[in-house]
Amino acid sequence: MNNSLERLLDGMVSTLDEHIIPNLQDDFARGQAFGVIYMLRCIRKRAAWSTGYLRAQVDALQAVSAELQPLLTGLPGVPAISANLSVSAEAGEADLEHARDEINRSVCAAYEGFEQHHCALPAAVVSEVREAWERYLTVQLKTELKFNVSLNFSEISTGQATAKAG
Amino acid sequence: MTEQSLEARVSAYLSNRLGGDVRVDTLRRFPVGFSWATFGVDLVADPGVALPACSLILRMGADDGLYAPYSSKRQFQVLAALERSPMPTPRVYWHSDDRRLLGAPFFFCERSVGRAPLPSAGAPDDPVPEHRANLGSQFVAALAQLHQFDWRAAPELTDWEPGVTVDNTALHQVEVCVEDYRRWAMQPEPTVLWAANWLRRHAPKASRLCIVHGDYRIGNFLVQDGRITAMLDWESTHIGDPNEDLGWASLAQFNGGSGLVSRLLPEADFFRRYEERTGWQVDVDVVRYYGVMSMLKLALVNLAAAQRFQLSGTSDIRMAALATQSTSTLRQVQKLIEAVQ
Repeated sequence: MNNSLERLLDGMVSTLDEHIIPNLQDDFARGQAFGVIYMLRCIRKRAAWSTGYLRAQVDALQAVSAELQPLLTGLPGVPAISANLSVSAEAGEADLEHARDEINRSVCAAYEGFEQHHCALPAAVVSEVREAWERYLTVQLKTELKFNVSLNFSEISTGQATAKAG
Repeated sequence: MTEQSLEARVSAYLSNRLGGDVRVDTLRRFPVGFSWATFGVDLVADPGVALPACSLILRMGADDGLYAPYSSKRQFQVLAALERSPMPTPRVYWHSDDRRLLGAPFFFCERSVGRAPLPSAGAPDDPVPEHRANLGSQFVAALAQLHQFDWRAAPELTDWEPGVTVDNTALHQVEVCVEDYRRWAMQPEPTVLWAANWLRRHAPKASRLCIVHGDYRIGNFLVQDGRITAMLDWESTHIGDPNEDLGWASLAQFNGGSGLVSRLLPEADFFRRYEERTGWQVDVDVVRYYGVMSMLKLALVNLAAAQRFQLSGTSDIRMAALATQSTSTLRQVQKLIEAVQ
């Protein structure tokens, strides 16, 4: 799960403005921080999540939905995967983000319904659905991890820099 | 709220509470922790005012904190009860959830000496390398003391977890996770749904119930001259299976790359010494089960951070940074389940 890009940029501006600049004594450093605030505000007007990042998530959701639909359709207590699964190859960031959220909502609702009613389903179906879901989780998590940067908890917890590699 | 206005409120509260003039000399926030804010408060009082100490700790659960909304009641209750235990805990003095007093739920407690070594290694004054064996023994001993505390006889804890039994405690904790998920997730999270169902299907029966610290690990105790002076951070404490704390303390997140439980001792030693201290046999399969649940709880903390940052308008950028860890934590949930299966 991520915060929205707009909120992340707003949050960084607030952090600099409220927590950092008031506590900086050096005028040059304060000027630099004001410069970063300005640049973040510029980026906020222009930036969006990359379509590559969103497209990979949508692709994984489309694949698992296609796998689950024939297994889950018509099962008692399991809501249908109702989201529109077709997303144009030319879709932009806003359309991809909307499609990702819609398909995710729909497929998760179907999976939750399946787990609530799995006792009444044939064992082979239960096992097939769970295996498909686990394959999807692996793809989804690995896809998102490609876009992660390692976080130094010690630095943000203590305010003390640690040695930089290289 | 500025620290100046908090100082004035603390002075007014303590003067009223203690029936004499009490003034804050200095009030300083410590940079630790993502949830309850911690302040060191130095006080000056008129002669005759019964201050328990001139320097206290004030902990406050602000409305934009990670797990808000907060209550100070349970932390105060458990710490008050544990004053009768040999486990090292800070003595508690006063608490209230009335936001009109200090602006947020709070409690005052003893200022224990020492510093908290972190899960990550490498701090210049890290006490772990010099005192590792000794700290490991104390870490196990304190956990055994906590788990063997007779919580049923504690009047402070009479209303804790009514209805929880050895049969349903694991399922009860799964439902706590699911409630937190419903509260914090801004969109459905497929791995959480899957893990919660796995935990439901594999919930073990507990051998016994005890006070579970809920965040028992390095980073949550103070050390002075090689001695653990206080176990801290009791906000996740509940009645449950003692194996929960064993699973939590053993998470890789807290070993700083050392492969040791909380950077202190090998897992096999941790279990063996715990068995020796308690006389109870550790069921490693149950510990592994609670390891999965613990990792899921960590992932839920990441989701909480994302939600707090997105919706509460907090300018604490640590929340956004913590939120970015949800994917890697959920991936570890998946790997732990695969390893158990």
